[in-house]
Amino acid sequence: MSFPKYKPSRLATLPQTLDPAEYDISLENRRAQVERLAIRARLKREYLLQYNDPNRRGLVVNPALVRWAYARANVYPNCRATPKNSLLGAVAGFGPLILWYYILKTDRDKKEKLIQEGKLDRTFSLSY
Amino acid sequence: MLPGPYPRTPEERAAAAKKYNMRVEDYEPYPDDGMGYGDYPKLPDRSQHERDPWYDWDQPDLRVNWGETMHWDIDMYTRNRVDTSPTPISWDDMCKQLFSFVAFMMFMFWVGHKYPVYQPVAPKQYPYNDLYLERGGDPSKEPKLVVHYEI
Repeated sequence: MSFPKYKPSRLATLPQTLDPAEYDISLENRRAQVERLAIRARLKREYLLQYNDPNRRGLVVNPALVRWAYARANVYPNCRATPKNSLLGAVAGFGPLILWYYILKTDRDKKEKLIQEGKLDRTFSLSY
Repeated sequence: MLPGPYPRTPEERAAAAKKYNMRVEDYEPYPDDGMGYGDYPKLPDRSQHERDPWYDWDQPDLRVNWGETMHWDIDMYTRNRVDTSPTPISWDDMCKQLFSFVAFMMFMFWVGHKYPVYQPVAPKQYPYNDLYLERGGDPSKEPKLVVHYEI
């Protein structure tokens, strides 16, 4: 039975067993994995030292969280005006205004024309 | 040590990689097109669903370790929200199957609407000469004889 080829997409990534990088046992890859593990072990040690310190009274502050929150909050200083940015901003800013102006205007003009000709049913009903 | 502007020189890149606890080769900032990312690293767009559930994470609910750089969109990729884990068949196949089924059903409903099929029906037949008296016919006059059968 032949299976269709699994193509990864943005919301469905390639499973680890189908990924050729998983089976890469070259020296450089192994060295990279060892370095990453060393970093992770060092961080784990720092965390556990703080966590299990009997004199600690408060929270263990996660600097990665602080950096993440700071980066997300301070987007503006790193922004600058590029053509793509400005275009996107103009479209998002003025687009809806113009679009809704035209939709509402044409709809109301049509209604007004019908009212002037007396063709619209304008009987009043309070609740329905 | 807080995030800063986009790194331009290799030294700045090395310093940023050290700051974010990553290898210099792994560190890849977002492209510098003025969208406000600065030197924050661009990590692979993987949801927290995909991380090993059996590993001893420092924060098990977020599946994140202390000091490990968080993804820019980690609040989107939490285990309550967007899930990017592998599906049994690929996204394209799923889309194709769903949309072909929906299109086929819409087509069949349209055909059924255009060419309806039902049991043969005839106009309703009433007795007593089409209910002549019940419909207010004059009792003294003779009604027109109505016969609904053929012999």
